[in-house]
Amino acid sequence: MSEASHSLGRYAHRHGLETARLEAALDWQVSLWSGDPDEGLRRDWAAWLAAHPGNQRAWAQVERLAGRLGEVPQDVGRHSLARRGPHLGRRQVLGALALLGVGALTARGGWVQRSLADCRVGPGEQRRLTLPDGSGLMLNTASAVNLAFNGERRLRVLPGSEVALDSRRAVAGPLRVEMAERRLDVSHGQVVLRDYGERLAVSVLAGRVSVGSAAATLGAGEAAWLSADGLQRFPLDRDAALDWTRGVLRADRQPLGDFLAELGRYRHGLLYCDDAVAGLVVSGAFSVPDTDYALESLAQALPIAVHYRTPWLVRVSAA
Amino acid sequence: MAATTLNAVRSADVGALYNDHAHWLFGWLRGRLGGNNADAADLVQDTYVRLIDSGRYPPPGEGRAFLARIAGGLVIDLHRRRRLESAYLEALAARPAPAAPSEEERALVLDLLVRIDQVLDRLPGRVSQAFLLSRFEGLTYAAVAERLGVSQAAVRKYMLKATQACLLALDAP
Repeated sequence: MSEASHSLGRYAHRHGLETARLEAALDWQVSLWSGDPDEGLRRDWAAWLAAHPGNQRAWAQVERLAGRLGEVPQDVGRHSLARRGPHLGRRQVLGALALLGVGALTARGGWVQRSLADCRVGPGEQRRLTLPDGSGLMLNTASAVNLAFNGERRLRVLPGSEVALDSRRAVAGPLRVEMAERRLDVSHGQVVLRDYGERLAVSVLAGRVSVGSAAATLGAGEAAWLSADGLQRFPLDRDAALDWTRGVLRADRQPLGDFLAELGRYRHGLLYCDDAVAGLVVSGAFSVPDTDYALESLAQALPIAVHYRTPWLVRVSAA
Repeated sequence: MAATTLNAVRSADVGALYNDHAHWLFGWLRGRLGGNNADAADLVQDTYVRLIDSGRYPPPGEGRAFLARIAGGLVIDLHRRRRLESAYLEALAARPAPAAPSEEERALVLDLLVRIDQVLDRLPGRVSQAFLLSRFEGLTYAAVAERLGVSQAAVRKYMLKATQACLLALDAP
């Protein structure tokens, strides 16, 4: 018996399946993926499926796999997994990776995709930089921007990012910010922008921001959500808006589940909590560079336990 | 070293392994991570976590070789994850209407990417190519066969091999 079929046998056994039926289910899945619209094939497959409950159980397992593969969006899989030469061994691939990191200097839609004009920080990192016009820009955890400052002054904030921009000392007029398909013109302003996915938060600490899509202007001391529903103002808390720029994550009677979601932005991998403790109330100031320490502090203050399943997977449960 | 000589991990043993070798391991990792202290420190911790999770313990005198083998795997995994994460973010950014999946969703997809990538790494080049072309380029087997210069029957065989490998690999907790 080959190594592969031996492993498949063990897998089948673990899931209470018959190996032959699991092999058949894999075979059907591979046939159905062929891309040929074949009515006969689908009919035969349906007949096989109906023939025995064991076939249905085996199929359910293969279908689950197909579902998980489908969780990787095609464009993401294509772009991230396809970076392997067709005949490269792993050693060669590792060597090639170093080159890929600095390669691909292709201009796409006017934006230089990977170059010195871009800035990207990973989870748990923050970075300050000075833009060519003298503006200051700070990126919070897991954020990225593209810059276009050749003749124009544009800043594109990539999805999921949070940035603080200070253009009060900038040499020229408004700085164009593009974010989640929106245009914001920041005039000698200090603003904090965060992309929450379905909506953007814009906090204006100084100066003025005009929002193209909503044809509205936010002045100093104003803040607003921008979403498909338009512009919705909310009261600006100056200190809270700038907390992260000082490396602080503050909670003011916040549910633990929400707090961990915020803290998790500063870590690689997944940080999650059981529903039983998600409603516990958290208050305090935590230093975000050291999220392990923050978790330790939480565990001392609340009736919770922190489990490091793997470095990437941390679960918080009731103590 | 033979797996049969490995014993169950006892916390005192882990403590001793830590005291004796953590500093050495830090230097070893630093050398392989371009002098990056933070990454090296992270991976020292991860190495011991992995050791504890494995429930296996090196025989006397082989501690360093054993730790280095775990740590070496983690270095490869770290590079893999960084590469995939940056490619993932690029793919999201390149979408015509940028979508921002939640942090949790991103972590799940990234974990999945890492595991699929590990599977593909262990498969022959043509097998992984066929799988990528079919599953992520959306090509029919006929088109995959043409692209790779092989028969459709070969593509089908590759797909079976890759799908089975994914089934086994994604089953692990």
